[in-house]
Amino acid sequence: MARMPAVRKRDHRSDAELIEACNSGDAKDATTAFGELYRRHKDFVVRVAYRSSDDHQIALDALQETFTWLLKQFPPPGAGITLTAKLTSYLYPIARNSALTLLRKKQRFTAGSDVDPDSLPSQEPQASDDIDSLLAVLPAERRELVLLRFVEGMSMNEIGDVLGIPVGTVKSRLHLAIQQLRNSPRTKTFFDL
Amino acid sequence: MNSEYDDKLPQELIDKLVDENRSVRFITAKVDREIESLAEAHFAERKAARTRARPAWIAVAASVLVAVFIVQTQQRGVDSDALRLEDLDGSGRVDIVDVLALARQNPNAQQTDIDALASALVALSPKGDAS
Repeated sequence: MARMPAVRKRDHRSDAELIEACNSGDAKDATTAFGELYRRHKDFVVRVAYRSSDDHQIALDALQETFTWLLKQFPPPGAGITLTAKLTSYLYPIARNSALTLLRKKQRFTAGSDVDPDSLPSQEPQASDDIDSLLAVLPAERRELVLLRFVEGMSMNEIGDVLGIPVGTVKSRLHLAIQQLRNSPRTKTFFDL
Repeated sequence: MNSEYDDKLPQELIDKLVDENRSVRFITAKVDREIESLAEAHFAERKAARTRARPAWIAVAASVLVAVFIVQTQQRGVDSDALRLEDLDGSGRVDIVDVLALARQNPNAQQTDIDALASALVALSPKGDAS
């Protein structure tokens, strides 16, 4: 008879409690707590990284870079973290910037080592022909905003935090994005239902 | 164009977007293990650092005890320095009689220090004088 895989006991601690365990718990508790943070947020991080790069390997590398960054915040030798916002607000810019940096390095490698990566045009991932093409009518900035709001479930304030823009700007851009989708031939039928 | 503030998407469109993004699942077990291993190694260093810190704490405590011992010894040493062996009885020589006189003059002197002076005197001269 095949053995059932061990069922991981669900950890009901909040992110803040897990962070505290990573800050000051003993080695075993800190490792367990970090593992739980990783389990909870790895999909979010890889989605952000993939949207930023459209490259599976880059997304996985960015995933590792993001959680390596997080790990280094905890002693030793890090000073620890005090959460003043959702953990995703911390992880989002790290994941996105890691993916973009890795993408530029890859583009530089492809273009030739003597090419200044800053001179390369920004190559935002193109929407594929699948469901993402429904959002293709939107510029990349608004597309990301819609995904953060409706797929990642972030609040306006959280979106403002991760994108570094005022909440008012989030609201106005979201409004414009939805107006575009309402009027786009590809998506207007959803609004008519 | 709808001029009212619009911040809602139809649920069907949201469901399709969520499903599509849920399919972005290519994190392998190997990747999971690598990151978990990094975490284990990182926090194991914390355990090692705390183990290294323990002897340091003990060393500090030991240093304090040694310091107290040294201070007390030095205090005794000050007293011992006052035990300057001289020809106290005017006999013309420094001998064991002078040691005994010194002991009487310094009732608080440590016996071990008196004994040390006596031993040194005997070592200098088998007759017990510093001639």
